[in-house]
Amino acid sequence: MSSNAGSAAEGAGGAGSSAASAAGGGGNSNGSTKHASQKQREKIVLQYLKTKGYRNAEKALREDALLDGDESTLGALAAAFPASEMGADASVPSWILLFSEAEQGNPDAHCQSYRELRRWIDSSLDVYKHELYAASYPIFVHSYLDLHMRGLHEKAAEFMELFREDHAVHHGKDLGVLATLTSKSHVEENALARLYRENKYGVRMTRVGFELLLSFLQDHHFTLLMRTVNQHLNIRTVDGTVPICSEAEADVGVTGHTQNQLDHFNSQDIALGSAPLDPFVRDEVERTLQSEAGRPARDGAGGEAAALLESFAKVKQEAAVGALSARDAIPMPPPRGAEVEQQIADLKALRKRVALGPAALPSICMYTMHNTDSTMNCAAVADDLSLLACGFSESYVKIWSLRREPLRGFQSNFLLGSVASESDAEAVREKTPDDSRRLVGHAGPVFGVDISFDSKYLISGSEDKTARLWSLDTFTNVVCYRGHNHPIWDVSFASQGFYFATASHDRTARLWSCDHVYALRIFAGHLSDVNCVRFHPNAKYVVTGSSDKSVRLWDVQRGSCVRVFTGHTGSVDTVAVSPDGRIMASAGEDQSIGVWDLGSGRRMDTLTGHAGPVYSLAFSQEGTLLLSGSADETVRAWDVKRSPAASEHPMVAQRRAARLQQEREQRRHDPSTGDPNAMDIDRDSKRAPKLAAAASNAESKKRDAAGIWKSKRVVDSDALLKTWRTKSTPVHSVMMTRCNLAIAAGPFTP
Amino acid sequence: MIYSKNTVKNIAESIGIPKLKDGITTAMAQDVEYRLHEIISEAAKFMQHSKRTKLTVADVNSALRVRNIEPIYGFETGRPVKFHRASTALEDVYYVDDEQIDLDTLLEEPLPSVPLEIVHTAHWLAIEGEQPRIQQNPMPTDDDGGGGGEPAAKKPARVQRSDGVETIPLVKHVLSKELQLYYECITESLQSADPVVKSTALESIAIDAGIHQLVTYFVQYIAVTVKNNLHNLEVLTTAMAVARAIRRNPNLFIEPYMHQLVPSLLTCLVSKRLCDNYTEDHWSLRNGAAEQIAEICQQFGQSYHTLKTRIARTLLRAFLDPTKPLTTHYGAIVGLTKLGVGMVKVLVLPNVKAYMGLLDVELEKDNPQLVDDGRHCRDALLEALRPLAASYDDLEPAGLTSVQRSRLAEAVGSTLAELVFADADGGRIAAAVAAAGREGRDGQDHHSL
Repeated sequence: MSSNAGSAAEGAGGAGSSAASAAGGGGNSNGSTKHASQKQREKIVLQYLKTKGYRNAEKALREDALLDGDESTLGALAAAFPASEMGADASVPSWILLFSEAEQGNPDAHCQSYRELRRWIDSSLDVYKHELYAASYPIFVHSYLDLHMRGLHEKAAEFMELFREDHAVHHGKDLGVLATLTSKSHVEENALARLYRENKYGVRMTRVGFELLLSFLQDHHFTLLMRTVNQHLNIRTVDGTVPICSEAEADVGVTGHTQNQLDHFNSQDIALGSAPLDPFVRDEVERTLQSEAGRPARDGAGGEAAALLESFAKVKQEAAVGALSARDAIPMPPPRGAEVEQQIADLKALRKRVALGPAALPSICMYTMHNTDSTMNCAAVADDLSLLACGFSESYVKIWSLRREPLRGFQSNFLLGSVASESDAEAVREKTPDDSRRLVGHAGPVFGVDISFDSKYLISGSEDKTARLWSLDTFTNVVCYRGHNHPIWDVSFASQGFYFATASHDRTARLWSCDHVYALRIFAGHLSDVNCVRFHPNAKYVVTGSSDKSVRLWDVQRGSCVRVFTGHTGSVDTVAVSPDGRIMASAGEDQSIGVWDLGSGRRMDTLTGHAGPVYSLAFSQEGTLLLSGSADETVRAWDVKRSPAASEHPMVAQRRAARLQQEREQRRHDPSTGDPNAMDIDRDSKRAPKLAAAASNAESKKRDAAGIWKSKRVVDSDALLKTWRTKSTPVHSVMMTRCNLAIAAGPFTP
Repeated sequence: MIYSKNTVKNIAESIGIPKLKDGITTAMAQDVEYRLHEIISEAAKFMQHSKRTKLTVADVNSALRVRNIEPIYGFETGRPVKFHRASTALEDVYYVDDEQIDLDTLLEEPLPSVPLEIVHTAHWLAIEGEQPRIQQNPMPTDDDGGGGGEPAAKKPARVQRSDGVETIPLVKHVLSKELQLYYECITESLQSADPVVKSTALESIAIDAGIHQLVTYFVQYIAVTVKNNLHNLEVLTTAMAVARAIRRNPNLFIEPYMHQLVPSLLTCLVSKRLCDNYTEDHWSLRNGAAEQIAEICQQFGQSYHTLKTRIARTLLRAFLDPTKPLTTHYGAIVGLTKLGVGMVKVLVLPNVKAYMGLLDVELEKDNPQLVDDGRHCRDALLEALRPLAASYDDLEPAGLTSVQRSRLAEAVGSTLAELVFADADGGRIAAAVAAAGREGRDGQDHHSL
């Protein structure tokens, strides 16, 4: 195997010269004309290499032949080429055309050449295998689409059937969609096929790997494949090695942008500081605390107030450092008192807060729903842990009191004028003591619910294209917001209330305020459904995750996109922003969690370990810990700010050692230890996609419908601190309270 | 091809288009199949957002509605739609069973039961990072990824079952290096032939204050030793000594381990054979075990009300089973005796006569071992009567008359009666047996055991 690859490498080194000899081999005229035409030929070859982007070969030829940079086009050069020479020795362009015609006429050409390529990759060196596999995927897709475009539908189907297993592990979903295409018009119409055809597919390769591939294609005259590489691939050569799962890199795959464009886009200025405290609220809080502290210390309330006052001063000081100026901040309605209470509650929570970190994991309270019959779509818990709200497929929202107090709305027939005091209001409240309420109003499954910070309002989004605002005082529908043309997938309140955002199937997210029935902003730009939406803590930005595998950050005031985060390999179903507003995490179908730095738009970390789609994410208040809830019936804790010092923490090191030990043990127990390849699959199924595909096939047969997520094996990333399994309960929602108590909710699915 | 052109043709005919060109049907079939795929992938989105893994009819209808297509009515049932196959000459046709419903019967049917109300329960999934072992949380049957805490010092052995399922014992126990060394040292010393070393080890177990974490291992050690060395009297004696030592140690809290310890003690009490050669003195081992069991019952009888009853029942069953060997009977008698006078009065005495009948048969056999065992049983029964006599200390010793003798023989059998009369304390015993017999007849409620 090694000798084979070695010779191929040699071939790569002389790629330019072999092409040159092919072109110039027949030149045997005499005198100065010979020299001139030789020069001319070399120029043509050089130009050819340049247009094809083969920089190394170009450079080599330029040095060997001492040619200067000539900017004339290939066509001009070909025209300038002596006509007499044409007959004797075909020029490079026509030489290519000849081959291409031969291949064009052959309906099996794609299949044959792709099969050759595959065989060659299989027998190449292990070091380059994975990058070659990665590069073969776009070649495969375009060969398939090409066959369709040429009307060879049966050939295309056959081609897909033959080779789709190769890429099933990484691109199973896309292939599933592409395989359904049956005619030219479908290719032109299908969104995914268009995405592939209209954009270049980014691939990262090492220099040697790239040269190996090129020389192989050239040596075997696979012009069809060459053309694909030229037209549809955007190969970026890197020094050193290419990570095994390079799909997670930002510029790999179809992004519609090159890395440079993305970098440029993501360098726009954004202000991530916290929202300024309203002066009225600030004064009011201080006044309240001072008056409480000033009162004679009866049962220690005064002392506590004094302490709160102290910490308020500290918080104020801290907030003032990075805060937005009042001019930059989002306009808010004048505070009405709830904000003051909120602020005081926050201060109290701050004093009670448990510091979390890799060595101090949180307590998690789990709310399990029973008898849901898989009709529960979403869940939300109020910040003050007073209420639990769930959205159901049967078009209603149900609220439970978590304090075992009855939820009492108002009677339907009372005169508003007759209510003058608190006791009057009490009199017209409903008598039924029930600790749960049903909110009926939607006409389709409810996909998203959220409760406002003061637990006074609830917003819900539904398949019926509306979002509804519910008052939690009266338990009635207050406003119905129409505007979306398609089902709403998610809703979210801003942390200061008043504003909320919706994410919809119509590929937009919208910003609303409670007092307007129309959307204030429409965030359009995602290429597919917007699955989730969350506010930045300062409410100046909105983060959305989409089925187009990207996450975007939108400026609320301008209504424009300011950051694009690409790199997920499946649809993004959930996002979360850290309380300090600097870090964002996203996760979804591809079972991995991306941690991003909002400021630079760069990926900080990829957290793998979940064995099912991730449904929900939550940061701890310090932003050091990330909790995730998933369909694999686990809640996991991740270390987000992994600094070298943190990973050397004895507890973390110990865990890692334990895990390694476990892995080793596992391998020892494995029956297939004899085969080194089989071992590789177990440890890292991404190393050899083909073998892994075979393995996962066998595995998938074993899987029963219920245990579908449980039997998959995933490599846990180092940042995984702990996994808590639930009893047959997919975790729909996780959140962190202000004092760092974690809450998880999910339906029990026996 | 899922959707064949013949299907297109059939459908066309059914709506009154008799002849379709082949090219049209092919194109139609291809397009229909593509559209079906589109609808299904759209429906999968609704499934994904409902956080389910099963596609329902409602999802498909939602997808149709999103695409502005009239949804298909009549399929939304609670149960999954089942397709049936009908084979025709040309191809298979699939259809959904659509049974006719008689409106009258439908109206008369009782209403279906109201579905269960959706409720929520709360529990701690983790407390400061550790998952409490409560019923609401799953048992850690398989390894829990990265968060297993530090590796248990004594790695629990993985049990490989025949069906290939691997299970790990539920509890991981953390043991320091020192304790591990100590444990190894002690177990080694216990096996040593030197009585000084052995007694030092036992002494250490009995007084050491810092070995609480090892209790479970010692209990395990006793159980395993007893199980594996049933015929090795010396090892068994050592095991019993270990049991006594850990019970004697005032620093150890052994209550939770009692249920593990008692079976080993019972084994040493009533097992059929406890030595290689029947001449060896396994009787003292049995006596020792009986004593320990009695002590345990005494000590923990307060917290476990049924403990004494259960042990007594086990012993009684062994005592009354004629198929059990005499050695077992001996153990049972000794055990019951040690459990107290009440046990003797209520459980032993009423059965003595019948038992002596059996024993007499054995004693007359021409087998030195059986005769020896029988004698031990007989003596044990006599010993059992002794504390009975002591409990009636206000009784006048009965005269050793022949009337008394026949009366006693009626109660306990003639062989034992003779023995009693030969005993120095015979009068008191006879009187006590008589008194106990009267009591038994008078108040059946004494049997309220």
